[in-house]
Formats: sequence, structure tokens, C-alpha cells
Amino acid sequence: MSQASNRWSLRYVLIVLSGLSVFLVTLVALSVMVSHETREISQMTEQHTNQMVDLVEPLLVGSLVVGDLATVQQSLRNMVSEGSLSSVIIADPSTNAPILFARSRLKTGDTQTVPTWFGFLAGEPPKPVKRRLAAGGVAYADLIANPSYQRLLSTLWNSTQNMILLAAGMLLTQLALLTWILARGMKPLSNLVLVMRQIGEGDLGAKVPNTRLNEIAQVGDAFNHMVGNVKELMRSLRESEEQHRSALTALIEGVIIVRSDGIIQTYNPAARCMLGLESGQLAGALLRDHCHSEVREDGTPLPVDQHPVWVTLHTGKPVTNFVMGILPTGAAANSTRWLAINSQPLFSEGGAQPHAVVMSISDITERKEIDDRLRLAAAVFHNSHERIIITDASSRIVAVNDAFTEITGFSQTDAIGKNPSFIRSGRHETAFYKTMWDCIHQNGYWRGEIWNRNKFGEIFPEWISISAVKNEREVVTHYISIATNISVIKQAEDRLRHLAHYDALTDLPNRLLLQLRLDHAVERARRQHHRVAVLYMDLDRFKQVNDKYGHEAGDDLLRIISSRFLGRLREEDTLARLGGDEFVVLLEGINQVDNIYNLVNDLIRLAGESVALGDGREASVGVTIGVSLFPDDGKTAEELLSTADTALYKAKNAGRNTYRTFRESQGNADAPAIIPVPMTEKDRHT
Amino acid sequence: MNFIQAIVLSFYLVALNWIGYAAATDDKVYSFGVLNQQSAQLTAERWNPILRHVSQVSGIRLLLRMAPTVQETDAAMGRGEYDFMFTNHIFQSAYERVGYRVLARAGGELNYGVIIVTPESPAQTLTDLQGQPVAFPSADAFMSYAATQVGLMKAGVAVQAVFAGNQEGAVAQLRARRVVAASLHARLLLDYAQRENFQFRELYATPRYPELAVIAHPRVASRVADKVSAALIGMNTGIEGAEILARSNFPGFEKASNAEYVSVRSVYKAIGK
Repeated sequence: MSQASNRWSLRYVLIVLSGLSVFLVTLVALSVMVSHETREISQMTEQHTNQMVDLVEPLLVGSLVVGDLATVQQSLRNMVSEGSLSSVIIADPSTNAPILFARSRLKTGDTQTVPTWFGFLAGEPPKPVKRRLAAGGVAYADLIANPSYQRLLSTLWNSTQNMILLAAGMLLTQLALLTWILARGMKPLSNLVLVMRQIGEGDLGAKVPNTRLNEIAQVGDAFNHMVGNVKELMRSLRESEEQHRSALTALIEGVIIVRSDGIIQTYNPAARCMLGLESGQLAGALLRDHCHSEVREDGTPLPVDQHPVWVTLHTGKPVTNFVMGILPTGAAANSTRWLAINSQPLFSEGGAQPHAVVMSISDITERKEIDDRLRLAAAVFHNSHERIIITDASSRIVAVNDAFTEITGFSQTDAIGKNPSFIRSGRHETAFYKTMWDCIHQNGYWRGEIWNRNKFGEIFPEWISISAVKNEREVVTHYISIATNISVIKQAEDRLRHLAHYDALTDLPNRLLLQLRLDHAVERARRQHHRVAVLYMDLDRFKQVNDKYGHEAGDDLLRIISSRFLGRLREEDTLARLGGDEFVVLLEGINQVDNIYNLVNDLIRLAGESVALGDGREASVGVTIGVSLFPDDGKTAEELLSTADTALYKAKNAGRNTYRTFRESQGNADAPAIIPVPMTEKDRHT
Repeated sequence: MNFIQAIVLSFYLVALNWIGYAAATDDKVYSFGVLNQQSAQLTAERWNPILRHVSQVSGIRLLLRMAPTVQETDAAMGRGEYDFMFTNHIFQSAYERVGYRVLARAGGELNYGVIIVTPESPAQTLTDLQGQPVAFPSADAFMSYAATQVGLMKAGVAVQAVFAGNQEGAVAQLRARRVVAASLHARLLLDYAQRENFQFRELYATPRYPELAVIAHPRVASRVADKVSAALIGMNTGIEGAEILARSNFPGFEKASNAEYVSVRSVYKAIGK
């Protein structure tokens, strides 16, 4: 059976329902009216009966008092003859036994035949009126007046018949009117249906024609307005859909919408590219069909039930920032693409389980590599044994590594925000730093050695490399200072330097250092017109001590003698050991020649003093000294040493433990040992 | 005690009670007739409370008895059907042979009848009423008919008697100018005049006569009659009796004897009753 054949005509349904409802309403109204009428007539009857009893009561009481029962009987007859009472009884008040009785005798035609059912509708018959006939407290009889129910029913039935006729007329009239109205009202409805069908087939231009029936016209207007709104809505929807599609296409992030059955509903080009698939492969396919080898962030395989889409579909909760790698089948292991995935559930209205999941994909392969590199750099930064300071462009420290704290004693909190100059030692002058910064600004880096100061006030040397970090616009954003504490190296260098210039036994300057200092002294004396004296000394009898007590004792003697000599010399004087038992004293800034002789005599005296060599051993040596003067005896260091050596030779020949000047050694014994050089005005003031 | 014993004991107690009650009271019901001065219902309203009180006080059971009309009441009285009665018709010659005994009379002062005219009436004496229509309540009335008739007869005046049915009817006849004078009970006239602000002029007043008497039939024992008489007279002083009299608007009862009604008998004789 077709669906249309199951439908009922609205017109007939309305007519039947309206007729039924009017009929029911009429029936109810009729029942209410009959009930009301019954009640009213019953009340009226009761009232009437009471009035009648009121009228006859004095007569009845009087007649009963005087025992005139004939009059009482006549009164009863008169009461029932009026017609409203069916019977009247006079009863004994104490026993209720009837004494007198009168009954109405209705003639045929006095009342109308009433249907039995109407009796049920009319309800209970009116109650009899009972009145005690008494005077002065003495009850003579009871009067019981029974209203005529038949007459009451007849009256009611008459009025009810009229009401039924009236209701039937109204019902018929209403049905006729309704039929006519529906016949007229259905045509616009048919037009409305026709237009709805046209719109349903896509013709949104169709309009409901106007009609004179206001309500139908209002429906038509509302429908036309609704269609207009729907057109506007559809246009907005298309635009919105286009915008969303464009936005989806333009998104750098990949977006895939997966239905609850795992079918890919829609996707954007970015998603396709990220998954490395050809166009048209995704839509309508199962997501798992396009699953590559998927791995967790730690490289272990990703189970299907831990895939974000699966998790969101089954839990209804979003998953954010889930990182997974995809590896196309057969591809090399190092070609893994890393994706960050967010999955958001979509719920139907009122639904508890998502009907789809929106999966957004970001290719974070490069970012992950950068992160890895950064992580590595950070590890290098923190684990480096070299002290690293990173400042911003304004040289304000933004980061220091652990080695910084270890080397300088300053914590990160102490350092962050400060200028690196806070660890300056003060050993370098401003020009040094200016040169350094000029180099950095010019070349982008600087390397060099800088002395800095740690938290405990100790200064230490560092080998520093400072680099300027520039952004893509070549603007310096940071400076990185990497430094190595070179204190140990410096100490080693100093040691080497010391070993090169000092005698290992006595720690006195050796020949090389003496040569350098002598050169400088000559140069300085030449500029400043000073004298320089060189005392070339050789210990007497040292060989015997060495032979007698051994080399160690000889070495001790040399150290003791050296110490005695140093104790006599000025701080600015130089005592050098040239080797063996040969020493040279370099004296600068000499103003009084006599002072030299005093010194020489003191040195001879000191050398001659006994030397305790331990274990109760004592030794005594002497010293022979050759003296040469600049500029008198030589113009250069070599000449001075040579002339001093010559003078020493002469002194040794003269018997040791003495001295000779070079001039004396040249045989000019009468000549003054020291020929004074004219002093400049400047000399006199120094 | 079982059930049967309980029932026997109960009957025994009831019987003892009944015997005691019967010994204390006279179980006979005595009829008490009342002259038809008002409608039977009003009469019953007025007299039933009085008779119930007297019965309770005296132990003599009294029952109100009336006939539909005055004539029938008088006839029954003449036949001796009432044990007690409240009337003055007994003093008519026709009923003297029955031998009723006067026990008491209605209380209050002795009363009288009057003949009145309107204030503007030209009649100044009874003789001015000669041949004129005069209203009377009823031919059975004593004060307002029998007594005033004696006065008219003594004055030698014959009037046209118009019977109005009751006192109010007679006054209404006078006020409607359908009669030139009206013969009325003096006390009832004064009540009416005060109630209705009625102005009148008195032409004649009869001598004073006692009100109706309570009489007993000769067959009623003196003991019973005395008890009833004592109870009636005692109502004036008893609280309950006084209340009943007040509600019935009854002036009460006073002791009386046949001798007090000689004047009444003479009036009846004078008019041939």
C-alpha cells in the first residue's frame, strides 16, 4: 500500500473532529444545563412546597387543635390538587403512622411521557418537605409533602427537548460553515504545497501567491520570508564553506577529518603532502590504509590503539601535541618525518561518543632537528669545561655556563643581567678593551689573553674568544665569550721563561738574562747619561771546597754566598751567575764611584766569611772581582763584560781575594780607578 | 450474674419505677377547654405551655380541648365535656345547671367595656346613637357587647349592631366612618390606641367586671381541682411560671369564686342569655 493511501484528508479530519468536538461540547453543555435545571427546578419545587405548607400550616394546626379532621383532610386534598405534589400525609408525630393521606391523581395528558434514560440524567427526585405541626410546644402531627417527580421530569424533558433541537441546529450550522471555510481555505494550502514542492526541487524563486484569507496569507508571507532567509542562509553557507575550504587549503598545517568508522571524510593539500600521498588517495579511504610505519618519539613502533585518532574516537577526549614519526614503507630509516598531531573530537548534538575526529598535523621534522641541535648546543654549553658567557647586544649577560661558576665562583644569579666587565681584574688598561671591541665590531670576533678576577679577588689569565652573533639581517644580537683558564699554561710558561733566564742552582739571573739586562741598562744609561758598573766575580778556592766536600756542599756554598751578595745589593741591582763559581753584578744609576768600591770591599768581605755546610763542616772561600764601567770601559754590554773579565784576570794575577778596575788592568795604576763622566743637569736632579 | 438474671433484674427495676410513678401522680388526663377568643392555633400557642407547666407542678395531666367555634365550644361545655375550662359563658343562664365551680380568674384589674366615637363626631351621649350603626366585635363578647348592650338598654337606645368579627375590625369600621360608634373592650382599645396612635372620644363606660374564669366540672375531685388552682395561681410567683406567662402575654391567675361573677350573670340575664 502506498504512503499516500495511508493519509487522511485534512478537510474531512477537521470536519469530523470539529463535528465531534461540537457534539461533545454540546452534550456536555446539555448535561450541565439539565443538571443545573434539575437542581433549580428541584429547589423551586422545594421552595414552592415549603410556601404551600407555610400557607396551610396555621389552618392545619388550628384544625388539629380543635380536632377538625374533616377540615384537615380537605386541606390535604386542596394541596395535592394544585398539581405540584404527588402526595401529602399527616402522620402521628410519635409513631410516624399515617393518620390522613391525600394523593395526586394525574390525568392522561397532564404530563408528557419521559424516556427512562432521561430519568437517570435528571438525577435524584426532589426531597419531601416534612413539617411538624405544633403549637405551644405540643406536637399534634407531622405533615409530609412529596413533590411530584413525574411533573418535574416532564417539565425538564420539555425544556431539554427544546435545547436538543437548538443544539442540533447549531451543530449543523457549524458543520456547514466549517465545510465552506475549509473548502475555501484548502485551495491556498494546495498552492502552498505546490510551491513547497517546487522549492524542494531546488526552485528557490518560487513564491506562495497571495490570498484574501488573512491567516493563510500570513502563513504564505511567513513561508516566503522563510524561503528568502533560507536563500540568504544558503548563500552565506556556500560562502562560509568556500572560505573554510580556502582556509583549509591555505593552512600550512595538515587537516584530516576522520569519521568514527575510520573513513577519511575530508582533508587539505597540506595533509596530503605531509603524508606523501597523491591527490585523490585519501577521501573515502580508511585512515589505517594510509598508515605508514609509525613510531613514537623514542623511535619505537606506535601501536594502532595509541594513535591519537583512535584514542580520541574511543575516549571522546582531545589529544594535543602528540609527536610521532612516519616512515614510508621501504624508505631509509633516516628519512623519518616527524609530525605533531592534535586530534579534536566532533560530537553530534546530545551525542556522548564523537561521530568524527579532526586531526591537525604539523610537520616538525626541521623543528625537531633544530631542537636536537639546540639540545646538543645546550649540552655543550652546560658541559663545556670552558667558561662561556652569552650577552645580549648591549653586553648584558643573558647566560653563563656551569664552568663559569666553577672558574669564577660567581653563580648564574650573580652574573645574569650584568656586564661581563664585573670580573675585570684591572690589569688591563682601557685602551686594551677598546682595541678588543674595535676588533669585534670590525671582524666579528676577537681572541686573546685577558686577566680577570674571580669572586675571591684572585686574578687569573684566560684565553678568550669573543664572537658577535648576528641575525639574518646582520644585526648583532648576542656576544659569546668562550674562555679557557690558562693559569697553568702561564705558570708553565713562566717556569720555562725562568729556567731560560735564571740559574737553576741559585735562582739568580743567568748569562742570557744578564745580557738582556745589561743591554737595557746600557741603553738606558746612554739615554740618561748614567754610569753602569759591571763587577765580574770569581770565587777563590771553590774547587778545593768542591773536591773536599763534594758537589752538593759546593752547591750549598754557592747558594749561601749568592744569598749574602743579594743581601748587600740594592733591589734594582742584578746579581747573575754565569756558571761554575763566576758571578756578575750589574749596577745601574751610579752617581758616586766610591760607592762601588765600598760595595766591592763588602762583597770580598762577605765571600770571605766562613760558610757552614752542615754536619759541622765549614768552608771559607774568597772572591776576586774585575770592575768595568760604562761608558768608560765599554760602550756595549759585550765590551763591558769583556773589560770586566780582563780586569778579573788581572786581579787574579795580583793575588786573588781582591779587585781590579779595567783601567788598572791596563797598567795605568796611577790613573784614577774611575774616571768621572761629566753629569748632565738632568742627572743631578735624579 | 448471667444474661437471663440481668434481664429479670432490669424488668424488676423498671416495674418498681413505674409503680412509684403511678402512686405519685394521677394518671388520668383531664380536658381543659378554652373559649374561642383567638384562632385555635394562637390559643394552643398560648395555653399549651401554661397547661404543661400546671401539669408538671400539680401532677394533674391537663390536655387542651377546643371546638371549632364558640357555639360548639359552649355546647360541649353545656354537655359537660370539659373537666376544666377558661370561659365566662358558663355564667349564662343556659349553663348554670351544669354546676361548674370557679377556681380562679384571669389576673389584673377588673375590666370594662366602652362605646367610643371619633373626636369630631357630633354624638355626645348614648342617646345620640339612637338608630345609628354601631360596630361590635362579636355577639359573644362580654365586655364589648353584653356589658355595653346593658348600658344602651338602660339608656333606652337602640342601635344598628354591626358585627366586625374582632376588636380591630370594629375600630376599622369606625375609622372608615361606616359606623358612628364602636363598642370595645377597654384594655384592648387602649392597647390599640397606643399602638396605632388612634384618637377617640369615649361616650360610655360599663361597670368593671372580672375577666374570664377557670372553672372545674363537678365531677372533678376537689383535691384535683385545688391542685390545678394552686398551680395556676402559683405561676404568678414562680420563676418558670412567670416566664411562661410573660411569653404568652397573659396577666396571670388569681384566686376567685362563683360569688365574684354575680355581676356577670346579671349582665347575661339582662340581655337574655
